[in-house]
Amino acid sequence: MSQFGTMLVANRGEIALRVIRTCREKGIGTVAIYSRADEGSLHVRHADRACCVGEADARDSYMNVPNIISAALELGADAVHPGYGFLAEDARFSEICSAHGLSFIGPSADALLLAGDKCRMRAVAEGCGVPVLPGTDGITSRPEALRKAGDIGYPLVLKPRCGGGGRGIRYAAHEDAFRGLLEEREVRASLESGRSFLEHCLQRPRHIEVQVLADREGDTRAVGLRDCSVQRSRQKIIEEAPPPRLDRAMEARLTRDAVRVSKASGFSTAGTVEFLVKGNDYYFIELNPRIQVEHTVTEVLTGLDLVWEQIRLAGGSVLGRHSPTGAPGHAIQARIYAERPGTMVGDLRFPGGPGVRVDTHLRRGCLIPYFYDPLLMKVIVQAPTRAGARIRLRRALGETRIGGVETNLPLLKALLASAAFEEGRYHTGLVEELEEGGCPKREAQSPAGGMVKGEVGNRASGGRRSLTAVAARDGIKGAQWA
Amino acid sequence: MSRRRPVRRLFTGKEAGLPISELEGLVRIMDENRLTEVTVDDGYRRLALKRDGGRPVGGLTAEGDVGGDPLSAGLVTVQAPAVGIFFRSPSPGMSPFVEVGKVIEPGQVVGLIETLKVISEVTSDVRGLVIGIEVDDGGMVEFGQTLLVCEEMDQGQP
Repeated sequence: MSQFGTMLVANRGEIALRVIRTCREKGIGTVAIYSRADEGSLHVRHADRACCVGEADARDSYMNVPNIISAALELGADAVHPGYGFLAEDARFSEICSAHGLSFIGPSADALLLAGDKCRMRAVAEGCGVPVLPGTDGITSRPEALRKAGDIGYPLVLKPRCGGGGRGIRYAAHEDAFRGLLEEREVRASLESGRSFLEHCLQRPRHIEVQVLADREGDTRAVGLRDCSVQRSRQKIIEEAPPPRLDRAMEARLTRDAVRVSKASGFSTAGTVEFLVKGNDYYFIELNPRIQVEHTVTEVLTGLDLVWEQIRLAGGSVLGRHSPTGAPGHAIQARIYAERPGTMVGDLRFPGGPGVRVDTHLRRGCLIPYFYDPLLMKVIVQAPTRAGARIRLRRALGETRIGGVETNLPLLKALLASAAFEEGRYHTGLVEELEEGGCPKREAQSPAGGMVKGEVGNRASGGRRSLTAVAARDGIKGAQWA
Repeated sequence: MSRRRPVRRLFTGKEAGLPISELEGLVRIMDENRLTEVTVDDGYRRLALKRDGGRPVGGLTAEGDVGGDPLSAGLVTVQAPAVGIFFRSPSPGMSPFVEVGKVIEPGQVVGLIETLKVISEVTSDVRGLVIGIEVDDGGMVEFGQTLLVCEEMDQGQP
């Protein structure tokens, strides 16, 4: 039973569907919102009610607060689930929801504000003895930036204090590069407003995060770790749980510190504490106060419905007895992205079979709008062992067809086939290394239906494996191995 | 607002072909910058892309379009610019802004929408004879919902 009668889902795409599915199972009515680019989208069809809230541009629709609140009130919603992106971390939006008697599914506005400010979060982490990378508070001038950069040590990154998704992060390998960076108009403007800070840049770390659940009373629990090191342009594309080759001592430290940071920041509901790990060192980077794209790997591993836990906790329920971290088995997720939006989905084949979960909003004939995140589909697999999960995901991606759209499927397949991934020895530089090795980046389908496919195989050469791309016309059966 | 017009191509010279990718690029530029019209002229060929009414590409989902446009030629609509409650008159008891059979002008106030206690005027962007009022007084409207259906009138027509 839920405290809520009707949920307005202030999002689109797969995450809107994901939330609607949990609501349906728990007997909560659903209201979808959509933009003019999403008429007829699956989340609109699956919801009990739907309301168009604006033009295609997200600023006019999925971030149009008056129209969204108005839709919630007129259609009888008593809670608002923001999903991820758009308004999910907007403290002002959560306050407006509360002011209109709507429960915002997330932490308090204060916790959102705090989590949104990376400098303040660094201080919170330091305050409870959790390591952070050498860095600064907000910086306001060029001399200050240069002086502090010297203290921190190169390479470093200039980051916006607020904002996420890797946007606005600038890298400087050495002082000359940093001086050049400071000359850029955009950077100067951000310095003048004091909205940037410096942080030492760890070379080729692992990105490991901890899923936490917390109730309004402050009871906080870590329910699983995820390795999200496989990234392209700071965009996660493969996530797995548990992180491979992570020793128990490190796992215990990350779990303990995630709970500490979460508690110290007054966080509640479902969120993620992110760390960079290198060797025996680890550093807190941020707290994401929302459901994440990769929550699914923890779900299939633990059997928890994290969206439900989030809703329940937002409604004031207390934490129950959750299965602790270290659930048996292994889960891996691959995110399939459109390389070039604006095209229409033709032939569509979903993977299936044992241990495979597919989260997607795609259907045949739907358009991939330019306006939003180009995530098309998440394929999540689960198996008793990591080796089994990797093989299963390769099999599942082999079954997947998204016709008419250029996707990153070839890259995902190449990653899964790589020796580094197979052995579980990888870091955030893996994709770069692979692409330098000549991996095909995209899979394109001509309008005539002929598929030019990139297939990547391992070649045993003197004990070392290399990646070789082979183009094969559709219709040739079986994988082409070089 | 009417449907998006099909792409009109005006080709002169020998280089008449246009790669679909180039066309996609142009449409993308239009969408991202919210342009309604783009003309490209490189000496050999001229391409004019024009959007009428601003319905974006993404709205053209193929199967079972929810917002199917039942209007025939010559009919135009006034649509809700916000989500909220629609009112036909300035205040309860007063006569409505428009009635069926009346002519409305561009810029004329045809109703009010209350969104979170803020009341905004709905103005017409067409000149036409009102033949249908599609929403009840005090009813909820969503963004882009049809409020009035009119027979389009040219500026010169009485």
